[in-house]
Amino acid sequence: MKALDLHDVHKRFGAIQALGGVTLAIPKGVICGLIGPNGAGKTTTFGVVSGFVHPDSGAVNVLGVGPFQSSIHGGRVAVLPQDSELNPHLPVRSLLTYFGRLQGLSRHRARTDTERVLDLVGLRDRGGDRLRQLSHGMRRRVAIAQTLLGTPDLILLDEPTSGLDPHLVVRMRDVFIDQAKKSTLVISSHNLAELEATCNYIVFMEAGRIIRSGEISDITGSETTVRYRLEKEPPLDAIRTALPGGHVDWKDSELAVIAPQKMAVPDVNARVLPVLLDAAVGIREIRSGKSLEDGYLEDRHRTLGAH
Amino acid sequence: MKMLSDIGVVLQYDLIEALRSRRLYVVFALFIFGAVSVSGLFILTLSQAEALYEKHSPGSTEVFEEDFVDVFANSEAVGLFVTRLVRGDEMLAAELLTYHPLALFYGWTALGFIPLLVLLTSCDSITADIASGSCRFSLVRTSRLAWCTGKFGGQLALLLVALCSGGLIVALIGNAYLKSVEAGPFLVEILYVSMFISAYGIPYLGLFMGISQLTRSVNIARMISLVTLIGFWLINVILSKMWLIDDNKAAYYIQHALPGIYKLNLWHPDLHTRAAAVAALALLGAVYFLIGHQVLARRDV
Repeated sequence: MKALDLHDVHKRFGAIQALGGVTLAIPKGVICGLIGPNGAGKTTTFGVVSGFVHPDSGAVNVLGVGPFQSSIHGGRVAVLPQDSELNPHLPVRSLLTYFGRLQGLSRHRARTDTERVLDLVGLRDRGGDRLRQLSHGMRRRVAIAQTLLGTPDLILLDEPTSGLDPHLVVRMRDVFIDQAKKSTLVISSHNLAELEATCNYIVFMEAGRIIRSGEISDITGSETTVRYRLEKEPPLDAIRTALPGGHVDWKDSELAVIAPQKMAVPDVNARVLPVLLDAAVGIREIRSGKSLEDGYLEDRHRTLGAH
Repeated sequence: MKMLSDIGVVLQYDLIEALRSRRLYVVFALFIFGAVSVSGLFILTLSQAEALYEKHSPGSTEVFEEDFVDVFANSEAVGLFVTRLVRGDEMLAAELLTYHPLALFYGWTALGFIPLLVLLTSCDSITADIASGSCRFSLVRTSRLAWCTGKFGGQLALLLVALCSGGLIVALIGNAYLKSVEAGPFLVEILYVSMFISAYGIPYLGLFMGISQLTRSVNIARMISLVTLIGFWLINVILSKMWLIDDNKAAYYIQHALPGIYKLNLWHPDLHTRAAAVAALALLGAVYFLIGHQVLARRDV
């Protein structure tokens, strides 16, 4: 079952082609990272999914029940839009209660849920303050809190952690991971390390198109590739002998070992590490797969190169 | 059902939000200043008349004010003047003369200022939320129509609060300075006047909130609203002249698409006439509002 299913979606703003045939399917229950440079179409995609932006053409299916309609999706889809300001005049608690009630919660439930989400984002003690009395980071956390009200099936977060202190970024990551037990999350961010730590599904966008999507382990190769940073060149032939069917590559002080089919990463280590230790090549670092950043840049170069 | 509930939630929120914003205090202050000025002007005129009367009839000022109110209600000359003012409707003129002059003065003046008050409070109420993006937090939870209608209701409630606050101030001043004012009945009368004249704000609310849905620029919304208000006033004057002086029937019918023609009927003693005026004003408001909403319903936010 898919949380989001977009097929050949186009959107133009005057002379600018914001979406040029987006086709995308995001499974239910994942935390999906939406990655792309500025102007790639991430925010427009969010707008189309949440009904703020009308696509020129293409099919949009949100939670398996067609394009966004407030009567169907209200309360089931939550959004943290980019660059949208919350009302500065109202106290945080009143504002969140209002959002809760608007998405169909009873007055009592809206109030109790407001306390719950304020707790989650660490702002319970500031619930009585008006938005304008809060710092940028606190306002951002209130904006995150409103997405957690009720029981949304799909949460879209556009740059949720921008402007947050590092310890709050970690806290929000934990909140998102915990929320993923109940909801599908789609997070747009430029912070690839953060997405790598949070997401299990990734979509790359470039110039209004999807260039790649899939499980993060497929993109980074974390289930198939092990990288060793070494002080000296290792005995490549000995490694190939220890790992028949595998692929070995040495470049820039890094040994990349791609496991044979169906071999798990611990088994690769069990065969390669003794060879490296015997050869005393000075092991500085071991990690599985490539970083999301590397994966993204490789795909981007490949796509741009193809054009 | 959900839509009605959403309208109620947005209405309540919009009213609370408005009551917390500084701009509203400025508008309220202006309106209350207007109410105080109206009362002051009325009392000053009465004092000058009293002084003049005392000069000619020393020792009789104690009863002058009551006499004045009595004269106002029963004088043939005043009756004729008011009848002319209401375009020859004797029944309406007689009804107007049953009000305390201060209540009538306040109600009549407030009617003139309602369009301006609504312009100040409402012309960017939706535009501002679209410009800041704050509407998105609501529109992912409810329909655009429910959200806009809720905001419309909030602004109408606000207008009612402003008119009743002004009426309350006038009642307090009247009670303090005029012997003819009986505190309880006068307060009831002036609040009653405030309630029914607030219906005159509905078409203007619809108009300005309709305009508010056309653009994402607050300045453009304000400019279009002001130009439209002036345009409505001018067209109404021209159509009235064409109808009253030149007996142009087409002008008479066209004027029914503008709020001005229903103003007098809001005071009418015949409840059917009054209810029809309120219904027509509400319908006009709904039409103006929904025309603007056709744009918002189809645009990106």
